[in-house]
Amino acid sequence: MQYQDRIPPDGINTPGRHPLREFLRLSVMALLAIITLGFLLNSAGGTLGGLIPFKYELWLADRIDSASVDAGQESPFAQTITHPELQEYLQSVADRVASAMELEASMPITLHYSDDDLVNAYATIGGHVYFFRGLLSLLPHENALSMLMAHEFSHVSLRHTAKGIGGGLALAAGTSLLGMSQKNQLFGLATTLTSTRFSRNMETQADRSALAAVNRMYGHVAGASALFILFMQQRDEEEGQFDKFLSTHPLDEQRIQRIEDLALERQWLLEGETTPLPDKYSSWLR
Amino acid sequence: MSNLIIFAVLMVLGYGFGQYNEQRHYKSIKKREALLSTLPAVATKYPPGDERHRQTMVMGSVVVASDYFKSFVASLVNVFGGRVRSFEPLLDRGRREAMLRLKQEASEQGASMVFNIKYETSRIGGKVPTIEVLAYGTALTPLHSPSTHGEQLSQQV
Amino acid sequence: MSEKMIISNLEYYPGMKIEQHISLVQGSSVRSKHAGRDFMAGIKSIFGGELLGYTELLHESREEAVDRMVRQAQEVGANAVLNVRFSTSSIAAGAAEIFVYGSAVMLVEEV
Repeated sequence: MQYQDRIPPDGINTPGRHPLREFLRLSVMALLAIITLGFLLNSAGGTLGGLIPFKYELWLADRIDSASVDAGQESPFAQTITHPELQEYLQSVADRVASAMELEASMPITLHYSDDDLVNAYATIGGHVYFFRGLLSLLPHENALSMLMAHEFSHVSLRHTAKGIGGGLALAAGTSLLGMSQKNQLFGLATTLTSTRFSRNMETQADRSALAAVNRMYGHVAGASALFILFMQQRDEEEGQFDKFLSTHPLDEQRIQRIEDLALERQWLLEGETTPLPDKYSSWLR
Repeated sequence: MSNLIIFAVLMVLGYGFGQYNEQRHYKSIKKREALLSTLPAVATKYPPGDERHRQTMVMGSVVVASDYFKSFVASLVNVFGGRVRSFEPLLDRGRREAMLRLKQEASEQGASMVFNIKYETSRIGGKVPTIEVLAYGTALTPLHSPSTHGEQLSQQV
Repeated sequence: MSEKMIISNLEYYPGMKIEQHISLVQGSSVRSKHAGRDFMAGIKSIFGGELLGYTELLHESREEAVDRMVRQAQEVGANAVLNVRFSTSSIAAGAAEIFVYGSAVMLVEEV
């Protein structure tokens, strides 16, 4: 008997493909799969969320309110408009917008004001709509304010909050079931992309519905795009290109373009006289 | 955003250093394998019975870690299933290195061959997959042949 | 490929003589199942019993590992692999390695 030690040739146990090729192939597959899956989950959850009657949204808001009071914290719905004249003015515009939008009485809107520099406004569950001082102080005329309100109220009437929560929950449930939530960076990016697309659609819907309301109120849509021009200027100052790409809102240039397209399509007047804000408006915002 | 940058940096570093280390390791493995190929290591249990040998247990072990890039690729494979190619070189390197260390130990004792080779592989955790490979066997040193460690021999018998 | 190669976990081959011990040969394969299967197996593991998906996975993997070992044995000019041993280890979450090794030998008819 003889003993030898021949070395088998390389590559039988490591028929290595180039790792970069493998990586690219898998990344593309993963992104596609995740975007498809994310989109499906998000839409399914969103659709289900939109089916929940508004009264449950009110009930939920109520629960959050009382729960935070019980816990000794300030309720998120506690920030009301303290300045009486501002309150009166905003409420009157809100009432006109609501009636132009034919909002049902079962869908009450509550206005909130936040003394903050943030250039923003948002609608949350139960018809609670928040305006930040930063945004209100930049508005050039009442038409822009009406457009802003109509946009936020559209989120409420189109049930975007419920849809957003439904979609987000479905997405979170789906990804955690597959065991790949925040652990994997690529999945994080992909889910952000899908939910971003989803909410951009909702923004576009809200813009369209708001523009119709503004046209009904003033007989023209002049000044509606002023709101987005404002956002555009603000964003140019603050953000880089990449943040824009990931932003949940449509790009401002596109929004302005879409507004004009819609107005032309419906034959709404793009020109018209804008209604100024009350003289003391800026002093109320201090 | 900053997460993404950290991720990209880790990927590039993992790829660069991972590939470099792997190539360097393979180069050294091949060189040493050629040197130690005069020392057969076999999996069978029964050594030839015609000669007296001194028996000693020898072992070689190594802990190797995958790199960030390869682990990420492997985690992607985990979604779709299939061969995890990016771990193959890791295991291959571990096995061959452990075997080389075993043979090194055996050759230092003047052994002529190693019998009953067994491998143990265990995962020892860590964020990036890390494995330990242990190779062990019984080294046979012919009693009559001159050994590099003569003094050890006299103690043994 | 493997029909011609004798694979056994015995020390010797009855009726034949080991002419030469050629090399220690090995084969390995790392595999993971896709997330869907992982998920189903997760549900199944609540109730216990055989996880068919994983049985299949390890079976395929074992076949490939043996195949690779046999290829190594052919490359070094052996006609049998004796004293074959398997080992299975989990390398990372969801990825298992099957490793198989043995002595590649040249068997001849006993005279």
